[in-house]
Amino acid sequence: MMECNGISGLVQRTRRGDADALEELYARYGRMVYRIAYGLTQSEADAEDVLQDVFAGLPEALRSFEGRSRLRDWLKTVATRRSLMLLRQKRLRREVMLDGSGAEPTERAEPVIDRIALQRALAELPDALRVVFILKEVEGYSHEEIGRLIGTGAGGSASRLHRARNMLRDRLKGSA
Amino acid sequence: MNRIFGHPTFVALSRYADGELDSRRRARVASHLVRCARCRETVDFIHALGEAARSLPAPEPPADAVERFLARRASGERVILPTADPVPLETGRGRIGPLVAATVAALIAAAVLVTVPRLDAERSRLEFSPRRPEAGGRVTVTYTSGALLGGEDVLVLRARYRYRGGTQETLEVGRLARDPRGDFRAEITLPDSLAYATFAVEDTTGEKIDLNHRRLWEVLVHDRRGRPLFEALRERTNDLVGRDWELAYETVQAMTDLYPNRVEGWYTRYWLESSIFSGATLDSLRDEHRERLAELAGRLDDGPAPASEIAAVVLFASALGDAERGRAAIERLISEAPTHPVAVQLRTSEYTRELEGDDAALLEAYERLWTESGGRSRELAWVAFRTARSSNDSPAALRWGERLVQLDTRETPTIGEALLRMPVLTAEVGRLITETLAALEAGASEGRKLHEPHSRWKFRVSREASRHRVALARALLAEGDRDAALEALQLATTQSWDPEVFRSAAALFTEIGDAESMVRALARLAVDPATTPAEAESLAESASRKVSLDQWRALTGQAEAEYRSLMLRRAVSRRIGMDTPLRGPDGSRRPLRDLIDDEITLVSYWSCFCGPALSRVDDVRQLNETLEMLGIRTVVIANGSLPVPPSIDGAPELPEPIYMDESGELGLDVQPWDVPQLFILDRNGRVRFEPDDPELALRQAYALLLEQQPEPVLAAP
Repeated sequence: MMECNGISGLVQRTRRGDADALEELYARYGRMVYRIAYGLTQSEADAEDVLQDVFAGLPEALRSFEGRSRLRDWLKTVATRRSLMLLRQKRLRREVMLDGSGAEPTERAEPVIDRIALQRALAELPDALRVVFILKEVEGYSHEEIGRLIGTGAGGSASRLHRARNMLRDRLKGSA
Repeated sequence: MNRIFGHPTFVALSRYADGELDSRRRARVASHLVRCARCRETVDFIHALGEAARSLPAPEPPADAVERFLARRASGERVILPTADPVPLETGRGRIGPLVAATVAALIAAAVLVTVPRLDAERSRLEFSPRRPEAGGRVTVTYTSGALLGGEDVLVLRARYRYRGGTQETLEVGRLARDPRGDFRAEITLPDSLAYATFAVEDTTGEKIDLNHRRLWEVLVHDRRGRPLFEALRERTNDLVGRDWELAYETVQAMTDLYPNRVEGWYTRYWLESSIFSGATLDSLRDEHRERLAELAGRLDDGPAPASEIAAVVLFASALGDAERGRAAIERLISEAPTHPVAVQLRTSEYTRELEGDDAALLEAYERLWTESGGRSRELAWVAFRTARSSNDSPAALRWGERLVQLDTRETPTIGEALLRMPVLTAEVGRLITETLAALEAGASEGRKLHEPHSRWKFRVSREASRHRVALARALLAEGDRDAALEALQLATTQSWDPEVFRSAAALFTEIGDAESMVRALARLAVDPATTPAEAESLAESASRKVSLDQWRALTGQAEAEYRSLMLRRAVSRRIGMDTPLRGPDGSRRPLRDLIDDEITLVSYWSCFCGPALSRVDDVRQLNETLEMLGIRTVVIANGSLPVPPSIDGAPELPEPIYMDESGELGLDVQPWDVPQLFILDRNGRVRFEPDDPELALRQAYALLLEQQPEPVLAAP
């Protein structure tokens, strides 16, 4: 078990503003928060902003943590939501087009995937599609959970996953 | 399948790869894959894509991350995070294990589910002593008022009581009088059969209601050992399903932890899970439940069992597709508890199947079952009513129609219209509608919901009464009593504003031959703000056959005045936190007052993460567009501090700009209940209307505009 009785003490101390406890929580969950933020934003600078904000705001935010879920899951959700917030702020600035519709494939796709090309293709995906792809395929959320996080419902999440895959296939095919 | 190439589409293959296709489509895709290398490669690619994404190297966080956020905190900087504490939902991630379950159960027994809102000290508070009351027990209720009800001397305590048998009612349960310390106090006695209750406090006019920020206050009835009753947890689950499904799920989990041997508890849990989960997760839960049902039902087979448990086996087995176990439980239920509601339903279906074609025998069997089971089953009454009508048995149709009306008076217009097709019943239908109409209008506050202000409830009742009167007019006309029919129609069209009523009334006035009243009804329809200009023009054209253009203008002017008077009669006038700072899209904070800017304004207050609220985005967007065309300002406010998540993907997206109520102060002030909560403010920034739906919002906002603007805004042609 990743979490044990010690977590509850750490949470209490962090809520009181104990810097050592906050540092300890960072040691346990910092990488996870950064990984999620990076996966969703595809930007080290943005991931770092999310990481900073999450831990700078954690003592106050933990007051609303009631232990109904595991701290790890709760933090994952907070990191995801903070990342979504950042993406939205960026979108308001950039007005990114989110249309991800693709043509019906008629060519053969490559089952062997070049990771560098995949990284690039992920970064190029519209935010709305990438968010669903990463949350589902990498972070293991269900469509129901993703639907709740992004407000589309499970069906909307599933539909975006298929569109994301289709776009990734087209882009990877182009890079092959 | 893609018809051009004969291959499944990419989406179908992607869904196949995720196991989302139903068995029939899955088999079709699988058989295609056997002979199509190209599609097989696509499926392989989809699997490989996920694996490749998971194996991508994640960059390391910067080495100085800790120093930086600690330095930010040391400098006093604080970040408001989008926090959430969702109930763990995935089987593999955080399902409650036995140890945690025991803790949850202990928590429940100790306090969590006893009552007690989580509110700041300065907010209102409702406390119950004892905190874990027993059925029939006497309870002291103490209310510490917040700003909303602080100035009152006497307050009203209302409750929604949910009983062990599964019925419920909303009623006034006591008056709270101020004690020497300034708090309010009342003594109440809980009914013997009570399981669970939710409470709200209001002023004596029923207009200002403290709903504990939508959470209400609650009491669970406990047993002598201080444990919440099974029925208390079941009813809490039922009560919460519509307003906080996460808490509902948490409650049902607690119920199965505390009462692990109750089939009814597990069935309720599965029922909730099947609406939350889908796909592989639900499949796996279903497997677990099948095993559990086998074990629990096996134990019940060994000895006497309560009817509710046998009925739960029937329902659970049916939901899980366990036909054999279901059949055995049905036999036992019908034999041991033939009048249990589930048994009555089963027996109704059995009779319908066995006696098909012999309506007289069927109606006789239904009649016996009704008497035997105490006359409570709506399903039985509807089935019998339909049978009586189709077999043209008018006495039986009337008898069953009356029973349906007794079970729910709102059915009266529908039942009345159906019975009028049997001419022999016209007089009886008139009597039936007159009686229910009288009861409807005499009812003190019956049927008023816990969160519903008195004026809003009255408005609802008068609308219902209008619809009753249209049905009554139809009955009177069929009976040949033209004058009484006219009188009923005149009342129906003047006591509330309902375009549906105007349409039906116009047709009936034509039938009666009262052209003047028909044109009046058309004029009312024409000035309704939901009527499009093209519709209004067509109504004017219909009227032109009976009246001159000048007369039509005079009638629409009069209709507009009636409309204004009817709408404004329901207006309230209450203050709202005009100085509450709201954060705009550019990050700046402005008080609500600045956004209103001395104009009539529709405020829609949204809950960021509320699915039902977001499903109404399109309606409200359309409403906002219509209102803005009329010159009515619209302001969109969302609770919390974060941008609304759905906006990242374009649909559904709230109308922009969105102002954030970061502190939640405005939320506490407006006590949102509906999703979204709509408010219409006048030019002075006072709340005048809190409409239930966008259509009513349009009518009320328009009435306010007419009040403050003497010239007609939507002049009829």
